[in-house]
Amino acid sequence: MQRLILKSGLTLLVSALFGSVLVFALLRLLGGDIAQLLLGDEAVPGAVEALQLELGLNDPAYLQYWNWLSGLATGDLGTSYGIGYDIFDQIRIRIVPTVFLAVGTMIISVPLALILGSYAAIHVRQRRSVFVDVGAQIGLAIPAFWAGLLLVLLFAVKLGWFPATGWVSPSEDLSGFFRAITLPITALVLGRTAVMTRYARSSMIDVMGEDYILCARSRGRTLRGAALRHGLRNASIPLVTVGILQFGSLMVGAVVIENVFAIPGMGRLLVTGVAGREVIVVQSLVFVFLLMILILNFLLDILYGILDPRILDKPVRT
Amino acid sequence: MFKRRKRVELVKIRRRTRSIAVVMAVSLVFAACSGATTDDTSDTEAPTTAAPSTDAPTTAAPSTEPAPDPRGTTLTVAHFQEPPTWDYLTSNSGAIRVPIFMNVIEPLMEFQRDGSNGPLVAESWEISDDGLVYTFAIREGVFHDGSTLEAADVVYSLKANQLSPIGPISGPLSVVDSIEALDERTVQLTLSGPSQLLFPSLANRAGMIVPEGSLEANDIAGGELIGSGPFVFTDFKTDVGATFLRFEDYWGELPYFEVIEYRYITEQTSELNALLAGDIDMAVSFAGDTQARLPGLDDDFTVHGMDPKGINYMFLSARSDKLADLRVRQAISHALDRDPILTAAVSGYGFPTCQYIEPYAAPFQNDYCPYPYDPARAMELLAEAGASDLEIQFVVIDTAAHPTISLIVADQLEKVGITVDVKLIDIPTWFDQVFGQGQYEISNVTGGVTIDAFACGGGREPIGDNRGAGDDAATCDEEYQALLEAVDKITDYDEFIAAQAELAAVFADNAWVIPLYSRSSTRVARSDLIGISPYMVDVEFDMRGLRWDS
Repeated sequence: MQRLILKSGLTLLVSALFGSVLVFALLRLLGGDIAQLLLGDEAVPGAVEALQLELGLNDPAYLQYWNWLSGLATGDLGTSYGIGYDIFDQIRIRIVPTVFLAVGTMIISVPLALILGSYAAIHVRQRRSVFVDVGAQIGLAIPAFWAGLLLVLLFAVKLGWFPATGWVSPSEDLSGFFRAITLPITALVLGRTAVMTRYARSSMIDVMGEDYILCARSRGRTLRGAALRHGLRNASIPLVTVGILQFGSLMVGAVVIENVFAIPGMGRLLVTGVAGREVIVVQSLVFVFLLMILILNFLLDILYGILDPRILDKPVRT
Repeated sequence: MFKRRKRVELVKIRRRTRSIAVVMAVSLVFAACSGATTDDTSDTEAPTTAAPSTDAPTTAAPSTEPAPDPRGTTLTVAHFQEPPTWDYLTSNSGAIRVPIFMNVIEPLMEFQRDGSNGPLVAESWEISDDGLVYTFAIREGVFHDGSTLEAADVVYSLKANQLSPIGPISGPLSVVDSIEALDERTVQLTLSGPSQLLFPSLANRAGMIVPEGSLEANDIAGGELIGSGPFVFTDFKTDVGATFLRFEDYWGELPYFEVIEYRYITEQTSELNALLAGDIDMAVSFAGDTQARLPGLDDDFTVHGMDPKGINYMFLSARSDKLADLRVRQAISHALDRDPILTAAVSGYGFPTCQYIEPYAAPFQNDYCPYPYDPARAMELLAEAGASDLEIQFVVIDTAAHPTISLIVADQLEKVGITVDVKLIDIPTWFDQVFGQGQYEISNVTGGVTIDAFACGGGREPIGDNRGAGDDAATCDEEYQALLEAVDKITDYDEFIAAQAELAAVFADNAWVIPLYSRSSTRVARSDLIGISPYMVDVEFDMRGLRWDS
């Protein structure tokens, strides 16, 4: 296990470092800068150049990279060029709504997908499983932002049950928080559940063909009993991978939903940052996303080691 | 056996208890949620935002109120655009001016509907006969930080405005040689020469007044803005919004609303949905294709079409050899049919125009259109200029109405034989490429500046000497520049108006800038909200007169 942790940890570090260089370089290729953007098209001659100099936008790339990297390591990324907010603090604040969205979606999606997938697998050759399959296909086909807009039109505009936009911190108003987060999470749940239902169904169908299910049935268990007692746990294992990857993509992909529902999360900060050429904000956010994905993959490696001890026996390639 | 049965019963009881607990918890959550859903009286509640860190009392309700209106004195509004900074002296962003101008920071004077200036920070003024000395009497008032409004504050503010890198702020003040406080209540401006531009500008951004030293002492970029206006700006949160609290020590009539919650909803569809769902009472501005949904709104909402503000125009690069021939530029102008562009870009909100005259209400506004839509004439001119196989690059911003405009313009130009290569890029890249490096042949933008901004040495293409062009004199139209300078010095008003009309005509004749339409944005509000003011000097959102309809 130690070898696995060491190997995966090393991979994480190297990938993170490589990723930081890549993120930094790509943002320099984006074109445009905040000095031009702030001053607009009515600036007096020389003003843009002066502001570029003042903001350090003309510093050598290696110096800018080093300043950013050391800032990341020490938790001091400085302040944004425009508003002047503390970048590290802002990311810390903004991660909260995004995590709530992602975790809330997973809490609902995973069990729902297991139930629906298992149901479809158990009744695989029956008409009722078709409903689940068709539902999953529709869920896959509907983009989250569109689902969000439809939900808003029905539940906020027509029925007035939930707010159409906004974010309420749970520490300020718990019921307001639940009301604000219900529609965005529902919009996200539709797509995620559809993806995972298909995985759960396919995994369950595989498991149902295993000898131990046959054995359980020969001992008198019903099909459903055997599936629930012995199949479900085994069918869940592939879902761990899918679930963790889905969680990562949710954190990154919540940007659209955050915009539709005006939720001040990381995604919205990213969009504002890109539009405003707040390069340090953007590269820091992208790096945080990258780091999250890497950490999730690292945890996945470790989890596999625990779930499947055969992985631990493999010799480490050096 | 007995023990086993007992254990089974215990497990059952524990499960039942757990189930009851879960049901109770869910019920509690639902109770809390349903309580919130019926809570439609939030407007009547006391403001929940923290009071600003000022000495002045700001949230107390006036004791003269006869009976509280059930709709409350809190108004929630939304705007789709958030400024990149709050420093109005170093940024040209309209999103700063929309809520701040007049409400938080007041200019020296107030622009009136009839085109004159009315009193605001200055109670009265005198202008010497030769137009070289302006004397202002400053009113008694208090700033949001508790300091008193004095002549020294006006001197400090105008001197700071003179140093702004933003043309419309510092430009008009460049003719001012000295700014002095004659006493606590009197300020005198001495000009190097007469200027028609200065006086109206003092009722605009060039005249914004703040307390002495406040620009250095406060985090202006972060939103610590202090003025003498009727609202105190507070509690700004990026991507969320800000709160405007009524300033109880305001020198003038107090606004009706005690609190105005100002929210940012960047997606205009979401902004409209928030309005329909009752999350907000008013959407400060709609622009672009979302306006197509507005005619379908029911009677609960009123659409306020604002006066046209901002002209959408094509502009041609003076550094492109292909466009140097006036006949080619005339052909491009003749090829453009403005009506379908207006309909597609802004759902018809606005009017087509051939002249760059801003504001539209300027007295020299006329119907002069030197190159109206005439594709046959366009083809003739191209043939005469030997440019029948013209190929041009059209660099366009990839948001708002610009992609739509680019498609129609490209189609119309291709009908007269011009091959158009449309290149869509985001705003920061566009700024860099077009204004920074001058890498384009034709482009399109919506602007709210006057033609003075195209002066030589300014930042505008193609009449002005663009930054990317360096000292390239070819980009500066000497005739236009000479006329522009002469116009500003005319002291007789009628003569000035006639000269302005001539200037606008020369500008249109050159066809470096081809205006397409004057855009009108819209405000949408609950029908019982009244006092929504028209635009006066800018796209400002004047909160002072807002109130519920009785």
